[in-house]
Amino acid sequence: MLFNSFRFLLFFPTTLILFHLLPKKVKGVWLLICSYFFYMSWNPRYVVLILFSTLVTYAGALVLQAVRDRGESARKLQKLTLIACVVLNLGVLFLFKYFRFACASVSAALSLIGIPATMPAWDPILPVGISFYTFQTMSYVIDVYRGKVPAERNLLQYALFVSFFPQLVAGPIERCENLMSQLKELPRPSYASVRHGFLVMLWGYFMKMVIADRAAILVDTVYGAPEQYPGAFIVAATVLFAFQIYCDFAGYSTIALGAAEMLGIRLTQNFETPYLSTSVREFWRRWHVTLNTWFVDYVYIPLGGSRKGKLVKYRNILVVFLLSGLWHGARWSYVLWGGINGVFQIMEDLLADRAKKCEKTVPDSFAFRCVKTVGTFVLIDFTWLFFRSNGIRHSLTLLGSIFTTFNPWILFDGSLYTCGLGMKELHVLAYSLLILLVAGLFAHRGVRIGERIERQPVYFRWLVYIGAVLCILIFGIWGSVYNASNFIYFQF
Amino acid sequence: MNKNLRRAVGIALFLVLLALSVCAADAFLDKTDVDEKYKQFFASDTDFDVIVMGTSHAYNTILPQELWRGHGIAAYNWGQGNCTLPEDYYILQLLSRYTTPKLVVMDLFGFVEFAKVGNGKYRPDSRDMQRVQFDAFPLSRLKYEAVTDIFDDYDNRYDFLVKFAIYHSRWSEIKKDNFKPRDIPQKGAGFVLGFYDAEGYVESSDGTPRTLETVGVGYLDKLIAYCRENGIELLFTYVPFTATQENRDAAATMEKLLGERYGLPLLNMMDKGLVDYRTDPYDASHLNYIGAAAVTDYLGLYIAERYPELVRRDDPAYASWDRDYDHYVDYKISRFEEGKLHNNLLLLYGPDFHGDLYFSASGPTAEDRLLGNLIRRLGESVTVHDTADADGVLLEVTDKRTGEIVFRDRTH
Repeated sequence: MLFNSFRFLLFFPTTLILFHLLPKKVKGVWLLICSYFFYMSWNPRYVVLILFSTLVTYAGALVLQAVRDRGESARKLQKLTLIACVVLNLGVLFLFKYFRFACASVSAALSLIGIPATMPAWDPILPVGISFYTFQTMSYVIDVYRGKVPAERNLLQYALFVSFFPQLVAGPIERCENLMSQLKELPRPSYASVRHGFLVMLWGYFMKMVIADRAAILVDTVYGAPEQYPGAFIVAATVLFAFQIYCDFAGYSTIALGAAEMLGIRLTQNFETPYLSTSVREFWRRWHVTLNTWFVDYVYIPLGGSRKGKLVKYRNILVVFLLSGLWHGARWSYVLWGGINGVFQIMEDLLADRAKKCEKTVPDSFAFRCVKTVGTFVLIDFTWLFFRSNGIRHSLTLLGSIFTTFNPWILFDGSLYTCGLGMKELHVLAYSLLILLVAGLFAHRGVRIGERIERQPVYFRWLVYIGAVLCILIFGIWGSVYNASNFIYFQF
Repeated sequence: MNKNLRRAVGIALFLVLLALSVCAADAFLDKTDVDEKYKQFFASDTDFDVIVMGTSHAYNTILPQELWRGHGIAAYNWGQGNCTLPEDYYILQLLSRYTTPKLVVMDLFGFVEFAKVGNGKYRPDSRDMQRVQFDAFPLSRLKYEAVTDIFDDYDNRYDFLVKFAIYHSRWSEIKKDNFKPRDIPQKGAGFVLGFYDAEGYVESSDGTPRTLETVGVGYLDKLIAYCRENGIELLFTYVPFTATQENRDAAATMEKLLGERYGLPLLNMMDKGLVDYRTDPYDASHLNYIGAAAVTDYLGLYIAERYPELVRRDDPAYASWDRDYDHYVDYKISRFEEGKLHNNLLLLYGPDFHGDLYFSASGPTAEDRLLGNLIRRLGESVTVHDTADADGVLLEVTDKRTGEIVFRDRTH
């Protein structure tokens, strides 16, 4: 069940209304039922996987808690328990997400040295949200191992922590210390939080349906036929893809935040105007915050972080980014995407001293910050090309086309209107991006437009809400696409 | 009023305003021309005795206005391109809420072929056409049942229930014309003007029955049961066109199935000599206006003979049908187009108009084979005047109701 589906439109209000009406004792159970229903609406069989992950980490955490105080002798058991939990969790993730990729890679490597290999028949459909809840359960069990949080004894409570539907399939990847306590309390949501949550959801829907899904049409058209749309078409599509991926992911995350807030739960902000960053490093502090902090806390720091010299630090950065790439998908182009981002970050670190010297000579001005922001965007957008491509070969084809075809005039002569989006559609996209930029600039300066709106009189608020809903419904990409030519039924 | 109650009222009021705004947007973006097909159905103050159903073959060929004019039969055409029998089954039930049909004329072209596509209940390549048909009905439990049953393998099936889900993206195509109602007084049908050269085609209904195991057969059971329960007569037809052997086999298959399983006949019109294949086909699968009018006339005779109670010509309750027919003739006048001599001649078929054609019998026009065939086909509806000094061809159309010339065009 997608957030932008009819089912969710029925599911969420029902969940919300009953959540508000039910007595506090059963609110948690109701949310758990709804969360499992939400998850099972994708594929009921895969409920086994989330149950498995939940039970393994629940039991593992209890064991870790039980043996923690038994001294040095229990230390080994603790480690073994943690390793077992992590291996079992990652094992399931590997089996369903990476097994085929691994086999294909091994097979390709073997065929390079002349050894024929056959691919196993196992090719499951990727269970939705598996990367998110696997990381969430792992963070929980590691935190219990580290003694940061106590093991949860109430299985239902823990199952809700793992499966809480707003963040189940696309994050944010929550930590136990933030989410568990709120789910235990389940305070009655205030009227203000319901109202604010609704507004946040609307903003998320706007990002996802009006911007991301519209940009996707042009991007898919160009990336799907680079020979037909060479050079500047690919540049334009790659720039648009930067906004598509942001609005898709951040939009979905924002809907999750809003939905959770309407239920009285505050989730972690996952995106903080990343494209206004002035360095690659800053970008990664603002992009998919919960995943990146996860990698920092559970991979980067355990590997030594930046404490063991520059070389180890750079190795650690590379490892984190390569893993982050792999987390996004079982494809070498994702790994390459992660690797390039890691290299950018290392280069930035290597050039930091020179950059500081340079900055001293240039006064800090709006123009200079703009240059840095645009420069960072260009670097990040370059990496998106690898992320969006269908593989390394495809990305090289796209890059080759960019550097071998000189056709910048297509940006001005109306050729862009032939890439799946007509003139009016592109205009809507441009206006929407402008709204996104303005909202981003305000947010970057700490001004929350949503909060400002909520302080306005009721008639103004309602006008904004209704206007926003209509804007999303009319300009959003949803339902079936209306095609006038398909409706010419008068002939036959 | 306490705080909670005030908030509850506030939320309710907000939701009402939101719903009204969405409805207003829906009305603004809704495809106004689609409704035209069904406008006369829902606006009618009389019952429709005969409901015509089926695919584009039924839609293009069986013309209710001609049925009324020729035989006094009050019919409405619910045929739609690529419509399947499962769809017809539900649509019949939905439209029966608004009228009480005595007879359903169900053309079975497509019953065999369409049932092989997708889930056998609908044609995935024609969802937009089916959407048009289902759009005619307001949301109801039956409509929900129909949509969830027929489109059971289609993720976006809820679009059929909420029209806004499809028409919301129409904002970029809104034009002034959309707000001017298009008047199509054909009582659901849609005749077409044009030609397909099928000279030499030999009409035949010889086909070999095949084994038929399709999803549609189950719906045929249901449809027949529904009609019997509700006292509705069923007349299955197969209208003529330039049928392939496969089409003839399909018709023979249906004939056998209907006879053996239900004891019902199939009115197979593929060998009745109703169609002149030099002038009447529109394309390889459909008939143009002349073909349609000729088939409709035959069907009218057939119905009037077997169901005399359906002849309403002298029923004062149906006086409005004559006015509607007048309106239909006006509509036909609006279909005359400059420079389209052959198409214009098609419209002369029948008793409404008389055409005078002026051209030189020794000029190049006389060599026009299609023109010659059309003149023969039209018989007394057209008079040819040999004018040796004629520049091209002049057509003058007289409206027989008034005796006035309603169209004049010179074609070079």
